[in-house]
Amino acid sequence: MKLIDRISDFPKYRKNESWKYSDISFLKEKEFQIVQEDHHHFINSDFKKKEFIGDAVVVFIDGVLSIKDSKFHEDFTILPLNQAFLRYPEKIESSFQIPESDSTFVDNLNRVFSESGVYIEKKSTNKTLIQLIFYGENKKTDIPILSSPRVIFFGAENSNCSFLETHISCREEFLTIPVTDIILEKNSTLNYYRVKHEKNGTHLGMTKILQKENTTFNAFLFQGDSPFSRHELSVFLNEKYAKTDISAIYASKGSNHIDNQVSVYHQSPDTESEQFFKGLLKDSSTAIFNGKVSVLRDAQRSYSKQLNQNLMLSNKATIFTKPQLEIDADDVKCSHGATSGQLNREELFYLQSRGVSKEIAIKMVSKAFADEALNRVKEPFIKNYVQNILDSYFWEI
Amino acid sequence: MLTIKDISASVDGKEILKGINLTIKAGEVHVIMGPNGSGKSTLSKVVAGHPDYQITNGEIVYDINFKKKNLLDMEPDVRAKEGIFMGFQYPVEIPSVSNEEFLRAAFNEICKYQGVEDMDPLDFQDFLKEKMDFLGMGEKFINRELNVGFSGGEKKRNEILQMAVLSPKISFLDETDSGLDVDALRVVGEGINKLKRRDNAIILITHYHRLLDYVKPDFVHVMYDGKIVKTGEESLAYDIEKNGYDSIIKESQN
Repeated sequence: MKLIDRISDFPKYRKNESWKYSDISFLKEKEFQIVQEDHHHFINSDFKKKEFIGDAVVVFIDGVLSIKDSKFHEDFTILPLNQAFLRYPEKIESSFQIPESDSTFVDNLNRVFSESGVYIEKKSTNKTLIQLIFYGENKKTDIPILSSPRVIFFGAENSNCSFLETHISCREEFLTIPVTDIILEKNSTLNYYRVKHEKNGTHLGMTKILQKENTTFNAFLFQGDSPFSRHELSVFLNEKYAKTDISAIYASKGSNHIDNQVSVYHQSPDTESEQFFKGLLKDSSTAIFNGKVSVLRDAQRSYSKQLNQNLMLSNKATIFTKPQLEIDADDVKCSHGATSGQLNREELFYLQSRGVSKEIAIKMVSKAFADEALNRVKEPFIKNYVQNILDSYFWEI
Repeated sequence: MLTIKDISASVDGKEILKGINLTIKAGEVHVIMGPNGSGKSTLSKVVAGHPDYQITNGEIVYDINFKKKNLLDMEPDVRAKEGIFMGFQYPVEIPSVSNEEFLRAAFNEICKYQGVEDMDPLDFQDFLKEKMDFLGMGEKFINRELNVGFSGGEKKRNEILQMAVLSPKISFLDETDSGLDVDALRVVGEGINKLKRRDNAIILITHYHRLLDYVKPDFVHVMYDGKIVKTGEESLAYDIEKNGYDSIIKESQN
């Protein structure tokens, strides 16, 4: 099956501004296959020991929900999406309340190919962690696999939850289009962590959040590099006192490409948002930060802050950064900015003058650069998890 | 120990040092004074190996353990590992790197280079605490980010702490006494004095004689326009503070 045969608007996607620097036309003519059923293979215990860090763990293998490999916990309602359609039709229906973001291409792509998904609801205020692992199996196939899982998460009224989404794959070539829809009911809090560290393949991910009154959404996003990786985050601050705080790190190398798309829509008064994105770029890699804050006319007294900083570790790397503000209200506090710079010579000399070799000095300064975002992660084991991935990135500097 | 022979150096094509000669022996304290822009800071940066300076002439011979080495052939970190230290006039702030992490990394690199085993982190803490007590530094100082948000006095004290931890053979201290109040000056001055040994040498770059109340110099040099124009004893520093540089500069131009 070829993508071009199934997607009628494929040739048109680049008319959208957000695709200006990301060309996926190479996918058009490629053959892919979709895995239809739950695997018969269980994930091995070494993998579990290393990667399972949630109280509840939901596993997708090659885009298919694997109930056998998942781990349940009383704090969470977890159901395959097709069952949830029957049992909670009104809930599923309400997930369509999430408005469309500016680019619907990934969302549509996911809907076209989605065979499997999960419905999750958190009701309690217990500070438990649910982890979703999207795993590509270590098995050779003649035709690369296309996976297109969908997650619908409900944070019930007054609930409190931590949600970790990890993307790992052993496959050499694949296309994955994971989409997560999140709805936060009144007074709920969600700490969302998304760690993408597939080494290969093409990743087109998306996360959409609808926030109701007095909800808090704290996110930390990590995009490790692979040949082509894109994540779109759309946050809708739909009711008053909704607050969102997003920190992110992306680290690219080789000739890889990382694309970060963020849109925050202030749709009600007294809403707050903050974006803090830090990028590290090595070799001849390319990265994109396209961050938009849009404040509707009724969203008075909105507060928004946006900052993107990039550390260029090579003369050949390229960053396209575009912080944008669209403000229709008159009583708002908004700031935005972007920087890109090389390692500071004075800092390096200072460290070297104390006996630290140039190589280690570069690592210390780059690690310090990333730590400013990583230190915002409150859960120590998630911080360590990302730290370990980053360490191997720094090791290769 | 260190012989600077006819060194000329420039930055962005502009010549700053125009033939400096200076011989430093173990156990000595030298003072370098001179009007602003005379090349004092450049001299210390050239010795430490700052990449912005091009050496256009001369050599710097470092004589250690009966071996003569050409300092100019070494990377800045190798110079530090060999025992060269520079106290910065403006210590650099490095966010997110903790003071302790930095000191331990530097100390361990030097240990490794000299073929000594790394110090256990706990032992290092004790070792550090001793040095800090002696410089009157509180414990919370060590957990802070390197020089970030430090007051002028704290930064300079931190430079002396680094010197105490790394125990270099030759230390160029570039205006370590500027921007200090009287109490901080005393702590820093006494600190430097305690770090003075028979097997090391200290070069103080300063505008004032007040630091010399704590550290007695063997030589006082006056730099002007990239050259050392006069060398004398401690009394020269007092003369300069009283009468300025004019007469010395005029004398040198005749």
